[in-house]
Amino acid sequence: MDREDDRDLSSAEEGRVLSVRFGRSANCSSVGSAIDVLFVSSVVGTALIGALAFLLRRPARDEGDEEDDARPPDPR
Amino acid sequence: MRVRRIRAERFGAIVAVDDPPALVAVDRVLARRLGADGGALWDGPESDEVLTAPTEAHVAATERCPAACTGCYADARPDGHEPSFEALCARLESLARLGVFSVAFGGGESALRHDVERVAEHARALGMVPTLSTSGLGVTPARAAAFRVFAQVNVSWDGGGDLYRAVRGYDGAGAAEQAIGLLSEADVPVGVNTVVTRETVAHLGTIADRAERMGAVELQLLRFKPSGRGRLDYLGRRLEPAQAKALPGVLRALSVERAIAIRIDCAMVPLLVGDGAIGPEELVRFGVMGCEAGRSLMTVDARGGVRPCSFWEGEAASRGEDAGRAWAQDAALGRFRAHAASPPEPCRSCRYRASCRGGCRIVAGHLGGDPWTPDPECPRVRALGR
Repeated sequence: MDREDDRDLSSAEEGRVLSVRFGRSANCSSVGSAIDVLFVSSVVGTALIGALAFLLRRPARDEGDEEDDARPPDPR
Repeated sequence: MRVRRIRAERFGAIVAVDDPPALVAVDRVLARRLGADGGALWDGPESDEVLTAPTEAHVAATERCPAACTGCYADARPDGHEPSFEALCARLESLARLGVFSVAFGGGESALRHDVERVAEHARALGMVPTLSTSGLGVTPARAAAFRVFAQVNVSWDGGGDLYRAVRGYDGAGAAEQAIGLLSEADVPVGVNTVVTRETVAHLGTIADRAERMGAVELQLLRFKPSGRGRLDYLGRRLEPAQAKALPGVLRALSVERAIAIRIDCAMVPLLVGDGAIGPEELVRFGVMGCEAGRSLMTVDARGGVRPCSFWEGEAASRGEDAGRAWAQDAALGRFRAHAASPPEPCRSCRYRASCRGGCRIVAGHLGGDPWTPDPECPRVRALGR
């Protein structure tokens, strides 16, 4: 486990993921929500949100990582 | 993680990522790190009640359909209105200017439009992710390959043979199954839309298994709505109270026992939480949304009229060609928002209110005559009414 993993992955100082909606909305008549993730344990759920926050922050940290070095093209 | 788009909101921003596909809501701190600038939006409170724009728009590419499903919410017909390519493009351009992330094309049977792929390409060129719902009619091997322009295609399929016929009133299971197979072979991510009725609910496990074997990656479960031709036989199709009560357990079993992804639609959220087993914070955390009409959803019908959701049959007062004005000023959208912000009891004090947003307005309007009353089929509303 490296130093990154030791930190709170969703800290107020570094920014938080508030919610995540997985999947495409391919139904044309009503809004859909993935429910599989609701049935994982709360520990796994918390870890998932933390991991997302970590992964989103990575582009700003890992300069030169072409795979992940994605700047948002259209910030408004 | 590759960020495809980011849109500032009062609470921070919505971030669209593609692998896996997801919309992630982040606070202002993380939004700023990702390059967003909320400007004046971030001067006020961090509210998520009203978004700056829909995240998704539902666009009817046609009113035409030869299938004659007995429960069609759109009352689609073979001679229905079909907008020109140019008219559809004008609506898409307006939605893109507003900041919409994704467009789900429907109808009518949009796959029978010869140019629906070009319409989808235009949406992509504008920065939006196009998806399609179809009965499977019009999906040939060549067209299945062309449908790679869509990020996902959902095929309506309520089970095989007799079950499909019982729900839809016509014999279309074969066309749907063929389309699912063709799309899967063409490497188009394909989902299955299944209407949950008193006929299908006992067969959802079998439907999920078969959908997975046919190559579907997702099963989208839809509550039957009393809209269009669906009004005619609603009471005979909707879930019986005992079936609705058992539904949370059915959904749990579907989700944990199978690899295929399970989704429910906005109107099913009150039924999902009917037994109280899932905490409200989990719904918020994973973006499980109830009535999102006017919040993250706006629809444009085939004639260009804007409505809060595809099932809302009130007069359309706004135009899809001026989506920004519609989002800001349309009275029907505003009425849906006002209801979600201040629903009547027992919704007002319900612990699921933030996600459920008061249940389905279409069901409430049909059964009680007033869409701004609690969803009478919600198990929690029902229990408190006893």
